[in-house]
Amino acid sequence: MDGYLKLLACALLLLLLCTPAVAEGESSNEATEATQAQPEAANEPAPVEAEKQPEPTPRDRLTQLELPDNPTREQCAAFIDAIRAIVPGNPRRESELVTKKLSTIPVKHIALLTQIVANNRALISDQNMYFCAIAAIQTYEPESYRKIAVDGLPENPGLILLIVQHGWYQSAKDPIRAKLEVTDPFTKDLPMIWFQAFVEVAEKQHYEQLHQMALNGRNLRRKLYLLDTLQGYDFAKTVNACWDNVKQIRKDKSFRYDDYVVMSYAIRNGNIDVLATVIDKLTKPFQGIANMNYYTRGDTAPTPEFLIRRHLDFRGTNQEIVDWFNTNRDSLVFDNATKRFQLLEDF
Amino acid sequence: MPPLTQRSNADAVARFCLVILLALACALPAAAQNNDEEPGAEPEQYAAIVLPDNPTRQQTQAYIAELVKLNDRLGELGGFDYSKRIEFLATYQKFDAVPDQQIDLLISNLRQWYVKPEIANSIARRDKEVIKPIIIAGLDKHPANIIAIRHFGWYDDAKEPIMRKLEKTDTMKGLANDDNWLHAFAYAAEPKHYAKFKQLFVTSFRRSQRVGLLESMPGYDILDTIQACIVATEKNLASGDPQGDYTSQIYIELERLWVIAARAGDVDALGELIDVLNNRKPEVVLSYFRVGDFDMQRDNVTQFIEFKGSNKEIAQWFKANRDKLVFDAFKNRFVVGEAF
Repeated sequence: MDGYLKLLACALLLLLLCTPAVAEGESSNEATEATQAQPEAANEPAPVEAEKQPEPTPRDRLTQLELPDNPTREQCAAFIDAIRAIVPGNPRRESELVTKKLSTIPVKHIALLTQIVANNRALISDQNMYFCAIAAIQTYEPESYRKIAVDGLPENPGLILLIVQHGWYQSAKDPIRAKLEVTDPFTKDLPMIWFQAFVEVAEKQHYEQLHQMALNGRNLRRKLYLLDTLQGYDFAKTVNACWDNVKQIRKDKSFRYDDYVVMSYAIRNGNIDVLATVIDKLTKPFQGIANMNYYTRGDTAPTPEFLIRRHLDFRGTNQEIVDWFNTNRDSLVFDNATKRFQLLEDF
Repeated sequence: MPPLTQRSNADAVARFCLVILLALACALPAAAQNNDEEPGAEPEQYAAIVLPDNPTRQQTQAYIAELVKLNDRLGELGGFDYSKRIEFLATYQKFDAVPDQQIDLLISNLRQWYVKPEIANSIARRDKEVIKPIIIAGLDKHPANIIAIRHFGWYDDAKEPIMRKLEKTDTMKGLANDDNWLHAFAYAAEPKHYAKFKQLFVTSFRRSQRVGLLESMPGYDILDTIQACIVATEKNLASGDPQGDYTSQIYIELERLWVIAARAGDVDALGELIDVLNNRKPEVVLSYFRVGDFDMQRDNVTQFIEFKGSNKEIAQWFKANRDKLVFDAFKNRFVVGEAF
């Protein structure tokens, strides 16, 4: 209660201190009102003079801005800078006019527009240009920039946005594969749509590189999600390696959500070690993990309870499941068709 | 003159805001200082709350409510120091005084944020063989007991009351502890209950994320239920009733349901997903890059087909081959012609 009293006292004190200032301000305003009333009456033509030479509004300045005929890339870049100088990136202003101006850039320089979008990874900076560039990109005919997007990809990585938007992965497979081969698997900054592009065009010889990228650990859920359905890829190898990582990091078995995602993928690929860990969790008193059900192909919370139910036929109380598993562990076999662990004699 | 008065008003408002900010800045350290004194008073505050011998239900309820209230207040003053709160509660073990016969009162108070872990631990510390029959016998009268049944995995023992509840319930909408009840129904249901279970599942919340429950029921027709869910979701979308989902999320829900249906071999669902891929707004895709996500809608389609091509080419290919597509369960993909 003392805290609230102190708060009240402070507020009152400050109010008292500031009230004269407010009163003073008001009185001074009244004074200026009174003093201004006379000269205005005497000096009638002054406002008319001001109207004669108005400051050019941003709208006027934008309207006057034009690109030269057949502009070079540098001229287009300078044009974009000029627009940004007139209309700051944030907050959003004059969006329609800016979009109209941006779409006068010839289609061969579309990379400048995708660059605006690609550079805008933070959520609040350069809002205006971001949305206007997106709107401007849509004014071009997709087939008109298909070849430009594919050919320019090595120099302008931002063009990947156009590839993703229309799904032109197969046309652009050479530059994407080239990038996949030179990308450091332990890079800290790999946008997920690039990883998706890698998965789309990957051949057998790239699988080891993808495996290394998954082990990198960043965006693990999304990487596993994408690799899961890659045909011919040894997904079990990747998830088992990820599970080994998890085991090393969480020696105290305090698993986080991402760890449960790895576990649910590993258990679906027949990793009995994960099953043992999950069953061990059953008898622990308080499970903090519940109702967290995003991003897994299982589409249900990867809680211990659910994982066991999904992959084991045995039914019973938690304690019974633990006892049963400990006696039968060695005779359990994974059935890939039903994704269940079964006793050897039933199999 | 009106413009001038407006300006002076704005000035006053600005000054007032400044005053409030300054006052807050001065008072916050004072409040923080104040909190350090609080824990010292705790033992007496806890000691003042006592449960009489052989308490009636009203007395126990009042006792728990008082503990919850004290913890709420202390928690607020203590700047939401959650771990500290758990620590204190664990020291006093005040909830152990509640007799086993009235354990449902503890269970129904599990939703209280500050005391939740301590109540859970208090329940877990008791002799399971003693509380098990009490919890199961009280299930009809106190539906919240299902939380404890799910926690300890006593579905088989509580099968009778769970089945009674299944027959009595017509909709999951508005049912308290619906998540726990749906789990219980799925775990205890036998094939003769599947029709009723389907009816309930369609009315439940976030259906697409609970399909794993259906997978865990032996011999259950998942596709049939998911198709019913798709119809219900489309109906909700048309009538503007999002059924517990946010309206913006209901499209995502529908997409997920189509993915699940396609995984179960529904060609129409695949067609819907290809339509989504080709009719989406471009800014959706471009924002994926911004938030660091990937193109989920493309992946929703490509995971089910072997054909490689652009979004438009996929749509053309699907149109040409639609009647010939068969689901190959071995590859988990739709193939043209004979299935493996």
